[in-house]
Amino acid sequence: MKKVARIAGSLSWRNIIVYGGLLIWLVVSAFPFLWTVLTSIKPLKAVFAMPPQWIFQPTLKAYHQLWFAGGEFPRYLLNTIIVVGSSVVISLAVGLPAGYALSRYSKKLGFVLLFLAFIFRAFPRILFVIPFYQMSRIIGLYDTKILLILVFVAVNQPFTIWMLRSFFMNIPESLEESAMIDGCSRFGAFVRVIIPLMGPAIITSGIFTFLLAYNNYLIPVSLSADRSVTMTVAIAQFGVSSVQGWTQAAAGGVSIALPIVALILFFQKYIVKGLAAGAVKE
Amino acid sequence: MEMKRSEFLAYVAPSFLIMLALMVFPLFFSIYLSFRNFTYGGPASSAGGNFVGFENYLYILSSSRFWGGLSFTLILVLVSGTVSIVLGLTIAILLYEARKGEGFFIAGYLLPYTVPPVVTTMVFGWLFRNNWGYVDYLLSQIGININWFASKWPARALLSMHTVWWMMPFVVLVFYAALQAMPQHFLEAARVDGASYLQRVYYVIIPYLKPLIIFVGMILIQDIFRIFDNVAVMTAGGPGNTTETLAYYNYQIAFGNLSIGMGSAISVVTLAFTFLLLGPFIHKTYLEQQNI
Repeated sequence: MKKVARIAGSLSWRNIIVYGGLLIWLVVSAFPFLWTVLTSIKPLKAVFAMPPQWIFQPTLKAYHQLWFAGGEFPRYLLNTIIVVGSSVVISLAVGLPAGYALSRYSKKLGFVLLFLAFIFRAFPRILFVIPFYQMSRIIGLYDTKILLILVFVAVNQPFTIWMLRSFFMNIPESLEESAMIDGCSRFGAFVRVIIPLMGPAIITSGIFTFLLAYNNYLIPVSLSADRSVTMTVAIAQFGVSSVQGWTQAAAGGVSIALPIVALILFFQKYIVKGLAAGAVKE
Repeated sequence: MEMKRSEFLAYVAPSFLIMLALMVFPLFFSIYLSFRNFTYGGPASSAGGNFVGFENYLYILSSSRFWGGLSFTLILVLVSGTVSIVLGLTIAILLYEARKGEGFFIAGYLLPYTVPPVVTTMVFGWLFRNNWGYVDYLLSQIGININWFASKWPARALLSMHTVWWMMPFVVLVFYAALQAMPQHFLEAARVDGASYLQRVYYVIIPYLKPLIIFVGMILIQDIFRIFDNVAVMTAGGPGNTTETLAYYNYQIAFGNLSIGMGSAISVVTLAFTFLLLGPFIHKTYLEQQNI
């Protein structure tokens, strides 16, 4: 009896509106992905069946063709891992001391640099991509992974230092001050006292620099031709190719999205915190 | 123990040297290129092109394709930007009202924003393909038959809808985080005064979120001015250049035609328009940040 009353109680108009609205947007958000997963495991005949089929004999053929049939996709994955991994590590290594210093130095110069970074964040990316294309052709770095890493580090730097700075602001200065009174140098205090407290902040910033590099299409499509092509460039090719390629394109899409899904499942709190940090500060 | 100036410079040096070498220098190089008629494979390409003064700029500003790209970009800012903020605010308030299961909903909501745009655009566009896409199928069942990719406004509508769908998670989560940090006594006071729920939203929540709405608008402008992947994958600018955004047009000239000089000029003009729009916001941020 009690249980029934509880269910009836929770079925108020208020809850129907709240959860109904949330559910509708959940379907809108997630349905295209569900549809893609289904497409990727449908036999070709079922893909084009009208009305759309929900029940079919699933097959992993598209995944097999994509990954194990001697195609280029595994190489694109390797390129992506190297380029994105290196740019995340370098972005953080360079951004951490800068973000720290910007949170601890309150004179005019600090503000000017911070504001410059803020302005740079608003620049259209292609403004940098065109000169990079031209320069890299001249010095022979075109179509190399090093070029992509450098460009990703640079264009993500304003965002990275802003986010890291906002996290450093939350760490009281008294912490490194007491370490410095005990005879630690500032750098020693930064490395041994402050950095260890930044764990969650580093994860959050790392996730966002990862997303900025992993998701980017303009930079690799403009600055690579073959050797350093990444997965986003490859999948965009699929999208415009023949209709028969659509199951493979779907399989490719699912493959690219899987690491992101894992990221959401394991680090959802950090992602939400990072989105909020950009906005709800001070 | 304030940081010394020399210390400060040492800490920020690596980051700012990278930005100087890889952003400031390319910026000036871009401006330099924008005054030259440099096209790969074209005449004078071996010499890096000739100085042509403002010719590239005059050509762009008199090209209907440029104004088409700019107007579609502004439509996206205005329509998709506004819809994202209104809808995003609604979902954020619902999420705030939900007492259980927010994490589950948020996980699903994050997908369109965190998966690479080339993938999300591809899968979103598929749903609207004639004789194949599920949304197209549902619409045809109720007698609506639209060929989304064949004419100007349906194709533009499709890209606008996709932009909303794509930006929503960002808007929702920023507002949701702010609502969670909102002092409860604001709402309590309004409740005691007998305000209805909608009154509380209008007189308490929206004024509270106002600075944030401006911030979100600013980020939306920046991101929408960068929209390139979505157009490339969904419509490739078609039919007949009608769904070109400024960024996509810029790419086509610079890398499709390999007209590096002209492409640079377009990106400089884009920069000018971006800052024209962002000017008031940037000024406001400047004043705010100066006071901390």
